[in-house]
Amino acid sequence: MMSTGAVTSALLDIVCFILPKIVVAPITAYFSLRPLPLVFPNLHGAYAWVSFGWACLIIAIADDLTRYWYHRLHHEILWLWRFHRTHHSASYMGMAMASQQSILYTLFFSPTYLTAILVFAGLGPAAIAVRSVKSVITLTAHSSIP
Amino acid sequence: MAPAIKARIIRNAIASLVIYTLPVALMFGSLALAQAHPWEHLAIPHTTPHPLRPGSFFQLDRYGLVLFTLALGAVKFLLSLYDEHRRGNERAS
Repeated sequence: MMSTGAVTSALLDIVCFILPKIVVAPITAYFSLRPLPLVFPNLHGAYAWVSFGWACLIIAIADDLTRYWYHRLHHEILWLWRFHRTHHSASYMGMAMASQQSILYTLFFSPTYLTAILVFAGLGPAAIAVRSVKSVITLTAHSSIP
Repeated sequence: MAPAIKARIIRNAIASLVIYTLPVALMFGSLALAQAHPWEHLAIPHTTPHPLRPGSFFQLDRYGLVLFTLALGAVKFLLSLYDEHRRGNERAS
C-alpha cells in the first residue's frame, strides 16, 4: 500500500512526464510557424544546403551548449534557482526526474527555441536525429540504471 | 551576484562563443578547401536512416522514445530498482 506522499509523488512524476509533451511541443510549433517567418523572412530553408553530418554537429553543439548554460545559470543566479530547485528536490533518481521541473523552466527552455530556429533555417532532419539521440541520453542519465 | 562568480561566467561565456562558432567555421573551412559552393545548388531533401526517418512509428523523437522508456522501466522493474525510495513530498533534506 502506497502512502499519500508516495501517491502524490507518483502523480507528480506522471504529470511532469506527460505535460511537457502536450504543452511544450504545440508552443514550439507555434513559435516556429508564426513569429519566425515575420522576424526572419529570408531564413526559411536558407541553410537547407548544409549536409546532414555538418548539420548534426552544429545542432549537437548548439543544443548542448545552450542546454548547459540554461542549466548552469539556474544554479548560479539565485532568483533563477527557484524555477529549477524542483528538479533537484527528489530523493531518488528516476526517468520522470528528467522533466520534473517548474513549468516556467520548461516553457522557457531555451535549447528548444534555438533548435526551432535551426529547423526553420533548413536543418530539420538533423534536428530530429540529434534530438532523438539526446532524448535517450537524457532519459538514461536520469534513470537509476548507470 | 558575487564578483568572482560574475567574472567566471563572463570568462566561460566567451569560451562558449568560440565553441558555438567552431563547427560552423570548420564546415566553411572544409568547403573552402574543397572549393565547394553547395548553396549555389538547389537544396536536396535529406534522407535519414530508420529509425530516425520522419514519420516512422519507431522514430525515437516520437513514439520510439515512449517505447524506449517503457522498455527501460521494465528493465528497472526486473532489476528490482523500483523499491520504495519515495519520502513524502520529497523536499531537499
